Amino acid sequence: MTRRFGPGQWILFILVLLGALAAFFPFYWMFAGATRGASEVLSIPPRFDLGPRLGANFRTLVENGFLRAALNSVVLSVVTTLLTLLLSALGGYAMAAYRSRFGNLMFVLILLTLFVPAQATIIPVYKVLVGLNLLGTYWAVILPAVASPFALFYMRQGFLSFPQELAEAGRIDGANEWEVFWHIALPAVRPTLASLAVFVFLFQWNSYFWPLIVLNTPESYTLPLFMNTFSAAASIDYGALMLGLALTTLPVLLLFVFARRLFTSAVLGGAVKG
Amino acid sequence: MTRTATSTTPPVPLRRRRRTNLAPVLFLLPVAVPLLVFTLYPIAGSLLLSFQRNLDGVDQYAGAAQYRRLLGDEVFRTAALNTAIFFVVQVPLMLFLALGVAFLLNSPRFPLRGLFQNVYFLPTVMGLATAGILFRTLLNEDLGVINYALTGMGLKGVPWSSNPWWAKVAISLLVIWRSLGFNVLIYLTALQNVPRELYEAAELDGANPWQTFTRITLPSIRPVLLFTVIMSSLATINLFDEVFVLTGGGPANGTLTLGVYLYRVAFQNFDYSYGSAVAWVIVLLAALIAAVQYLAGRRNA
Repeated sequence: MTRRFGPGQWILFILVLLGALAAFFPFYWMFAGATRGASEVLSIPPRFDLGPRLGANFRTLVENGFLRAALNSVVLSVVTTLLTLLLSALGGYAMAAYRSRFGNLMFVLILLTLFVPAQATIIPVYKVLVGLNLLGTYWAVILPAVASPFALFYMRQGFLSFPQELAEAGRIDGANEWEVFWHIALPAVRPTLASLAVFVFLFQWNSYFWPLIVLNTPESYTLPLFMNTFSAAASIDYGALMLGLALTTLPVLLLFVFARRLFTSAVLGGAVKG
Repeated sequence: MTRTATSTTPPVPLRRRRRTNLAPVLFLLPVAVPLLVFTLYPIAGSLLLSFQRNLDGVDQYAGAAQYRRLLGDEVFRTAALNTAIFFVVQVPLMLFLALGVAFLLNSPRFPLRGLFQNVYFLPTVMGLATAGILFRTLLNEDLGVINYALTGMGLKGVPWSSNPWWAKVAISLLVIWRSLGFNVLIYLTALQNVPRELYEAAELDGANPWQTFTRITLPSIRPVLLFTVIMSSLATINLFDEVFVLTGGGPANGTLTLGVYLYRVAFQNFDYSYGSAVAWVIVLLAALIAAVQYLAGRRNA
């Protein structure tokens, strides 16, 4: 392939550089806009500098209920992640470590459901939630997300490489099946758990469609829902809007910056193994 | 693990068999119940719903009536056509771009390749709704920075939200912006897994760069290519969030996709049976396209 870095390569380099600028510019625009006043985000000519209104924008957001939405997002994402990890790890371990008819049946079923898009299930899931009187509650968002064929499949794959001799050694030492799972098998698949955690958290944090359908009061809104309502107001405070978007993005951005390897392995894992 | 080292309890092999028979069932039950209620039952339920009709609050069997309704539904046809346009234009475009960038970044001489890879990946972490709102301000027709830049270069400002075609372009820009880094990452990983010996052998045989690319690189990453084609196709057939937030399906239904139409029918008109029929058309389309792509990809291998 390319051995020298000639003029042709420089043109390609500039193209890649322009692409990278295009990828990065909306982030800069968002964070810079977060510091400016309502009329200085959309203005002709546009401004690229920072403004002095970061604190004022934050107060505007808070007055409109931003903190409640942030709390909702944190609670929903954390609970969904923990529950999904626990249930999928238990089920995935059962499918990988034991030969059981129930496990085999489950495996065939999740393989089938992996290929059915969400569209096929949303209406009945909605009706089930109405029937269980859960509409508008956190559970309406959490429970359908926890029932993830992908997470179960991912954990099963993770536990396949767990050596059964270790479990057997634990049993000989008198550990019961739960103790074998919790103290021996689970610590052995920590990397799989970590990347699944990142994957599920990111998915739930950014989730828009499902919360939109089942959360029907502003008090229960997550950040993406809150921001879209905020952006549809009659008179939009664009500075505060940019700050809200920036704060919505910041947690996942930090996750990416500080756990980049985990992050890419989660995405690749979701892509290649899923 | 500490238990293994410290415990002195003697083995109890006789009771173990019983326990291992019950354990997998107990371990699977907590995830099996929500899967049954929120995934398996709903698949069957929506299929059933699509063959029913609601009369005075009671669902009753209606044969293929809902599917026949689709045939005469002009808005559905518009949604299907728009989705097809997105599929035909956007999927090849976003994948070619990603492959090109990945191919360049794969060259060990390329400066700052690690930094570029990270920057390209950044948009993937931003939520679809967040990105949609952000793009609404960037692409504002009168005051947006993109149109300002275009007019500054002597071009005309683009009617991103008032022209049905330019609104489609706006959606595609958002989709490509968010997905490029994801596909670049997948392609780069695949390219780095191509055995070095293959390239050395090609060089010994006097292959030019194009021959190397078509005879060595492409066949080596074929499974990954096939995977990204199928994934991007499915995402495009299901296109919803980007459209819902950026354009709401407008103007004049110019960006109405099947996904947005499903939302309108089911959750704005509360016509669950008709919505289920729309949902199953999407499912069948997605399955058909994925199957064709999979078989085509396999046959050429």
